[in-house]
Amino acid sequence: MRQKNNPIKKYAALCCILLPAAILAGCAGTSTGSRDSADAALSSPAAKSGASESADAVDTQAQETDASAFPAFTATDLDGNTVTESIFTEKDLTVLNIWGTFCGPCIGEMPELGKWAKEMPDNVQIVGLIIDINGEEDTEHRDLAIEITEKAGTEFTNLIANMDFAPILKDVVGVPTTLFIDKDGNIVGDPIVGANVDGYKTFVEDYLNGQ
Amino acid sequence: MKITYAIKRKLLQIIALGCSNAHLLNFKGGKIYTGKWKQFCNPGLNCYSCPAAGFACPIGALQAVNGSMQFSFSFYVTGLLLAFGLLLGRAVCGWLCPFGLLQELIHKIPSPKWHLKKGFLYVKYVVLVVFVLILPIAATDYMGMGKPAFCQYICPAGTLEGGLFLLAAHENLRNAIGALFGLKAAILILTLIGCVLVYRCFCRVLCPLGAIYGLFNKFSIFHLTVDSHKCVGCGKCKDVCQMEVDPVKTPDSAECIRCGACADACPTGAVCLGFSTKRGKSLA
Amino acid sequence: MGSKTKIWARAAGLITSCVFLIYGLHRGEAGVVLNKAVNICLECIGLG
Repeated sequence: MRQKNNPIKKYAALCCILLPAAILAGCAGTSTGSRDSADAALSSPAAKSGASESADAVDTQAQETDASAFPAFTATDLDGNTVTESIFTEKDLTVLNIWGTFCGPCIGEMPELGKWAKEMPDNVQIVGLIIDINGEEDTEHRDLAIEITEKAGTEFTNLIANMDFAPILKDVVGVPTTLFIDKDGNIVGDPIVGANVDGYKTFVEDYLNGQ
Repeated sequence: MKITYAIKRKLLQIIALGCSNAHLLNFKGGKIYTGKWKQFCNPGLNCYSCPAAGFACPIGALQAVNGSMQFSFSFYVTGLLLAFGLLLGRAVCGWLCPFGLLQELIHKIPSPKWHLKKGFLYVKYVVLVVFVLILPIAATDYMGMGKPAFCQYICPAGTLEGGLFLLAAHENLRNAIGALFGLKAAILILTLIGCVLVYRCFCRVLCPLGAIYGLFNKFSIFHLTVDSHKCVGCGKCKDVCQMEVDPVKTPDSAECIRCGACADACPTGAVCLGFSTKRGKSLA
Repeated sequence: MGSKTKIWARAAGLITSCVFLIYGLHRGEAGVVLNKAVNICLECIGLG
């Protein structure tokens, strides 16, 4: 077989071009395209309902107040009502279940959550936070979320996440993630990641007993 | 120096690894890439929960769409698999799959090397049919959402590429570790040990994607031919084949990953690998 | 397998794959794939 030097140079050249190009493309994409999954759900259309003012306010607030305080927010729930952080003051403890319509385990635990919501003590409530409804025009995911709550038989409030929730959601790696918030709007305990209704129940019991 | 298939292939495997996992900066924060490119699938197996992954996993995507509430059969992913299969067949495994590259590298760790009993080769078809095709459609909850059963219960690529890196970066994920992770970690460890002992053990025994592409080996455009006029029956091709295929007897074997070792070893140039159907022509 | 059969099989397969791809994209399946791929699938990494 004929020995050629050209193929060696050809392949070496190809590698020198392709490998760095791939890495550069990847890193360039990283800075613009990479976020936590929860952030991704809040992509540009959702910025509408947040408004830049409240986002700024949230940023400074997060820096000034206690790190465990839940950021102030104004959001709509699935029924169209406007809800703010004052919802936490209504009960001694709020179980905030963060979920998405794409997430199998979230949907799987929903009926159990709905049942628990009806049986739990009067000073505790469950509030849901849906992360994959992208603004008001996203009727597809909103309708899906409504269908899920209806089929699961849940009656608790489900908030539609917007930019106001960004400081919390940037730490949320996957869903379902459940946070516990006291009546002063402070996050208590550690978040529970994964569908674990027994775990939520245990936390609530321990918290109420410790009061 | 002759550029053997071995060299060309290694280079392309490394390039493919770089292209499919380009977002290296994500490892630090334990984040994943969330851009639009992820609606396209890699040809090979690469978990989309891997921080560096830039594209979707075809098996994951298949389960996601088949198990979704809106659809029960994915035309998009099936069409994509059909296209990759027809163009390349199991050459995807040999030239483009990152997990395949990993297995080849760990096989280089010195150890006794075992042959694989033929019966094990059929396990991947069972895995394909039961965990990838049937369970996401059949095991649905009240909303009609099915479990991505292969990803959830078996896939060691997901445990390694997604699980380990994300768990390392996030404490609240570590607190969520349960029995399921124990199962997946055990499968990962067994897979890695298996791949040290047996060349490409996962590819041959468990990989549903390899099972799919293998079925296309008879028709794929990139294929292997043995010129019977040039073949002297020396058996070198069979001896050198690490997938334990006899290229002379079964050039279209569903186990052949088109690595080209046989073509490199053939003393008369009878074994040819390439896109062209003309006798004697090859990729060079 | 005769080479003519092979060519027909390949042609039929490629046409089918194109039709499937276009139809699947038209149906919005790519959106479902994207949604699953950009949100960390806890199930895939072994956390249920």
